[in-house]
Amino acid sequence: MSNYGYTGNKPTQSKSGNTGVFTPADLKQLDTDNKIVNSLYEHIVTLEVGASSISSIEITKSAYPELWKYSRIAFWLTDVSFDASNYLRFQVSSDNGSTFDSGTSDYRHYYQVTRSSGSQNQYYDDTEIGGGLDLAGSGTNKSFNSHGYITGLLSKRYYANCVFVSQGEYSDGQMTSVWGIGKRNTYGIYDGFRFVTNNGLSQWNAGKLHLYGVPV
Amino acid sequence: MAGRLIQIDKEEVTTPVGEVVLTGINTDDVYFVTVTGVEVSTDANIRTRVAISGSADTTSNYSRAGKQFKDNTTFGNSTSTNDNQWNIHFTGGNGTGEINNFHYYVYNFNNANKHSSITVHESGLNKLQVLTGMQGAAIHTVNQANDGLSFISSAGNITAGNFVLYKVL
Repeated sequence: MSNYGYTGNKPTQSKSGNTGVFTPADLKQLDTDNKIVNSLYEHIVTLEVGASSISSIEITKSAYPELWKYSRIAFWLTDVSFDASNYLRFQVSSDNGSTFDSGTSDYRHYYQVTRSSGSQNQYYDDTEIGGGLDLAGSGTNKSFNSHGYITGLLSKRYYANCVFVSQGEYSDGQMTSVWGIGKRNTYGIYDGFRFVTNNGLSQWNAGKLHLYGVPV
Repeated sequence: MAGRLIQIDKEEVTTPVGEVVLTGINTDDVYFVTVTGVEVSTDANIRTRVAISGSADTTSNYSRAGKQFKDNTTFGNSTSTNDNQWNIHFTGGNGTGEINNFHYYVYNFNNANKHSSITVHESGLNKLQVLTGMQGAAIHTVNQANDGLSFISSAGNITAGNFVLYKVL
């Protein structure tokens, strides 16, 4: 393989007269190594819930420093399901994941729930232990998919927050559309966040979390 | 190729057609559909179905839930179960500027053991020239693998529009 951009006997990269090019092998290797950053998103990590049910997926700056290069993080939660009716909350950490803020008034959230049956719910509260994200029941097919953005982890001017849109099926079998936002109630510099079951129980039995840095 | 949208299929409508089909979903990745500049021949709305082996599934297994937003009134609800198509679009018409734009995130289409679902995001002018939006989701309640999406007009033809299917990696 050439040394990324140089196909001749010696480097020719310069502001003028640059004849260095990537070979197909270079591109393939860079892609395999996930080192190509484009103008859309940079994929940072995909984590999958394994054989045992868990209570949370925790993301820290020490584990994924490249994620903290970005002021906006895109996420997908796909095919999430639980052992019992539950949902996820968004919480942040300021000590690299040793603890996550979960006081009774640490967060506020608003989210709109619309079910295919026609029933509606609006959940809003400024005294929450985490930003509510979605709801799904237990059992086959009672899973949800969600896409959203996390911002403000490193801002002293606005709150760390998570805005999302979701689709899922509740335990009554009704398809559910949910969208909303949850945010920390005070400014801070955060080096960790997590998605955790509402009650903290290890009931999260399937799903993937995909995280991308968004270069905005 | 992580961190990219990979274009899987594209259909550009420049002459009237009865149906547009996007196909090529063959992995468990999230897919993304973007549709812009849709025009129809009569005052009608786009309807969507899942496609199996490239053909629309017309069985009555479609459910939807969402909110409509309009600039001249309060929001409306869009909910139903067991339809034979997704009635999830409310903009468009055959008047000037009555154009439909929307995008979906597409989940579980390739999984034969799951229900296929989408989230829906729409904006445009409706047939009364009212700015209209839609935020919601829809599901096809059959455990089957689907490889695409089918779009028709609730009346008449689709006369213009760009329909593109991407894979999110």
